[in-house]
Amino acid sequence: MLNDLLIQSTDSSNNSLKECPDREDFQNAVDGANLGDTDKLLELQQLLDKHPEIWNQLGDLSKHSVMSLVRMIAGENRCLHESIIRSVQQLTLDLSESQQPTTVERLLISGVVCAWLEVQLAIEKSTSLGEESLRRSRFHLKLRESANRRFESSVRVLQQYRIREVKLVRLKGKIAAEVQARQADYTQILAAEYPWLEERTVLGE
Amino acid sequence: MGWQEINEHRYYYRSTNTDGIITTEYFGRGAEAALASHVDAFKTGKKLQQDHDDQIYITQLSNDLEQYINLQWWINRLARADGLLAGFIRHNRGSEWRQTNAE
Repeated sequence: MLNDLLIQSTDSSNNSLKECPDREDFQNAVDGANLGDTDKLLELQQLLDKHPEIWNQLGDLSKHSVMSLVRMIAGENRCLHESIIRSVQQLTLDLSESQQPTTVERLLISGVVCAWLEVQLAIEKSTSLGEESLRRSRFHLKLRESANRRFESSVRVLQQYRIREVKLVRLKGKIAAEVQARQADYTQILAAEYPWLEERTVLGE
Repeated sequence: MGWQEINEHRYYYRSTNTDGIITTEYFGRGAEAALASHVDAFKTGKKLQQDHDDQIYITQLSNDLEQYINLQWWINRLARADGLLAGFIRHNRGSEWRQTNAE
């Protein structure tokens, strides 16, 4: 994953989300599913099944975003560029709890890294200009506030993902204990009583 | 305010707004008025140029960040979708995720 971050995407056509589902449809499906609508949950599953490339595309886009944010901060300063790349590597390493994070976790980590870079960019922009106009000052202040908000949000999303993962592991442990008590087959019980848990393991892989 | 024509003579006035109070300064119609007019024209031109430069700068930076903001949107929505498909429900405007079908 660390090396992946250093690979600079050269083909700009790969950096757009061409194969993504429609943003509005996706948002509606997510909102509906959150309200307990089983049809929307199914629709969400189908949208993701129909667009398996979305994970790779977002991965590519996140690499591209990291590199473009680094370029925006460092400009022509190669030394600063390399320093930031190393900081990004260290941050990615610090955020990765396991050697092989899942696709979702990898994306969330790259989201945190991008948000951290955006905060650095906002700080750099708002402090590097000496006599900037009031309009630019306002824009920089807004940028800093938005960047901080996005950074906090991305950290929270990663944290919530990990809490969910812990809960799922506990649930799997509970199922395993139940299976052992009933002397039944774990995979059969999982498929029959917890199909969503079984399906989830393939999400994004 | 600029040039005002009174009885076929042009007089120059400069109005300034300080904390909501408008103060008008009179320069007459001589060399001082011409100089004040040139200074004001120069300042206005400079301000327009600054506004133009600021607009370009803000648009450029916003465009550069647009793709990244789009990426963050998708990552957050996919994380949400992942949670929902794993049998959780977002509670309390996303500050908490509750397991719905664990029983």
